Amino acid sequence: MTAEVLLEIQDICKSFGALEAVNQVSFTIQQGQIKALIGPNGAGKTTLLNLLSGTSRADGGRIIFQSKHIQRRRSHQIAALGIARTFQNVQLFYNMSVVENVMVGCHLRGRLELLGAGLRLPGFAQEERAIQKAALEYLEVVGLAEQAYQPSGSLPFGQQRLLEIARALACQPKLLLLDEPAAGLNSRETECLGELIGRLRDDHCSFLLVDHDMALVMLISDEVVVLDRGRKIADGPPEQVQRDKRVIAAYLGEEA
Amino acid sequence: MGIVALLIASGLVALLVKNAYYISIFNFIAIHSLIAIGLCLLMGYAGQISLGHAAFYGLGAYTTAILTTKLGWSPWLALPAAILLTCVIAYMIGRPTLHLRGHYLAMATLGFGMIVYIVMKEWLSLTGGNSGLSSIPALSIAGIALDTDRRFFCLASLAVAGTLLFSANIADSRAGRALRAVHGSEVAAATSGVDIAGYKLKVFVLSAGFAAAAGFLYSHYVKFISPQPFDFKFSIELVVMVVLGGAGSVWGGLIGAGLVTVLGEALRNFGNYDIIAFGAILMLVIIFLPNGLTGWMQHFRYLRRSRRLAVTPSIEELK
Repeated sequence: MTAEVLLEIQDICKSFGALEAVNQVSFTIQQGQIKALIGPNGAGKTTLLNLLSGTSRADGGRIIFQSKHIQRRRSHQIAALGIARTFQNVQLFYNMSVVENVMVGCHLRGRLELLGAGLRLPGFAQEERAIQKAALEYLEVVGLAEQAYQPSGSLPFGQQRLLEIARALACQPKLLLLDEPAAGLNSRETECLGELIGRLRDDHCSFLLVDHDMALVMLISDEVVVLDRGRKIADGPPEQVQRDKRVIAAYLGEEA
Repeated sequence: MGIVALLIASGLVALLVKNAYYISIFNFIAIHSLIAIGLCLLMGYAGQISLGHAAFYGLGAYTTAILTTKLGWSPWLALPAAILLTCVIAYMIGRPTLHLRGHYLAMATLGFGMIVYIVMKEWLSLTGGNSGLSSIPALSIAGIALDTDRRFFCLASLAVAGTLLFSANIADSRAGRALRAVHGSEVAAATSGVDIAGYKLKVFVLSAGFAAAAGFLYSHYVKFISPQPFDFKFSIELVVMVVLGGAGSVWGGLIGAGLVTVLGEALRNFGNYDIIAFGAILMLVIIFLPNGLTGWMQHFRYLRRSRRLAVTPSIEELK
């Protein structure tokens, strides 16, 4: 396999006081790959996603995305480069309708700022229409087109997760970070989610997936990275990782 | 459509209200609502609080007063100068504070408001101190002097309509959604590509500009200024206007400015005790109408709509 490297993480570190949440972790994600990130609670998975999306800043190490160093960039700049994410505890804009949430995801493709919008400069209506059309298409992709004009808080939890994915897709990401997308979903919804991720991969999007649903992880991911107490303990195809002694020990709590 | 209704209502006021005192109250409502509408964008959309907007209002008023009385500028030249100066100062306050999360802007603007008030009172050679600046020229458009309450009201109501239109356009745009997103969830807004600190700063500077424009109108309407209308108490009154009217809609600024201005006139006989009434109103509104009057009205509209939605599918089922 000679696929191009999309993201390279080198010796990344992050500590909170004495706790080393992420300690010298390195791995790569190739173009079009679905990479899963698993590990027991408190292993540092969400912290790592926060570092990748600029939500928090690494203490050391490098993150290289399409040959650009991004470890010191801010969230919105990272989003502009093509990394979008969802959140473990769903972060929707509950003060907006379903479609408006996705329209915020389309933010980067618009250009008019406060003054331009206030004065309705030429191109305003056109830009608004284009953004709304695109947002409705993303809702179609995740199957929420019918709920477009409802308040986002009125959706059941599973659909809120899908809405978050639609919003992230609207950023036109090259890499999508999904933080426990299957948490709180029933088995049928999880199955749909797996299919959705598969379909999106065919559209040349790569994924870094954090989840506790092992069936989903083993089914859809190309490679799995296992973290335990901030350190990487395994990295490879699902079958290999499943047999890894250190991984089994970490999950069962034995000394390796 | 609301704006057309507002213009018609203003026209009726200008034609039918005979008492000059009542028209002067409408003028003050118009001036105050310019500030309150900008503050609505800042508070209701971006979720930031300023406790110093009276100072921006004062900066606009004093800048135009000084330029027109001491340097003999035309008011129409002084207007952009007043807005520009105020916006630059707001930028200098907002730039360092809005990068921080939390209510640092409230603290910074609180301190700034006090500094501006002291400067107005103490810099005698420039501001005239407590005795203020007088004989500020009236505005005139195409040779018509806006020197009566009624004529001034025509300009003031157009200014309010323009500001409302401008702000409603923003609210319903990419930038307005970005602001509401910042209010809804900062991390999610940032990871969706919204430059949150940048947007907070832009809307803060914009709202300061609106306040400066209001100060300009005040100066050339009253033709005399002193520090007192720009004190800390007025900053609080502005926040009360926004909270009472409802920060979720730019119309909240107009409604809140109307109510608080009329109330201020009604409470005049109580002297300084009126602040107690404002405090009580602020508490009651926060407890019973957390989204203000416009939020309360929208809630009713929303209830009606959701009831309609609940009925529709059952008709489908009957078929």
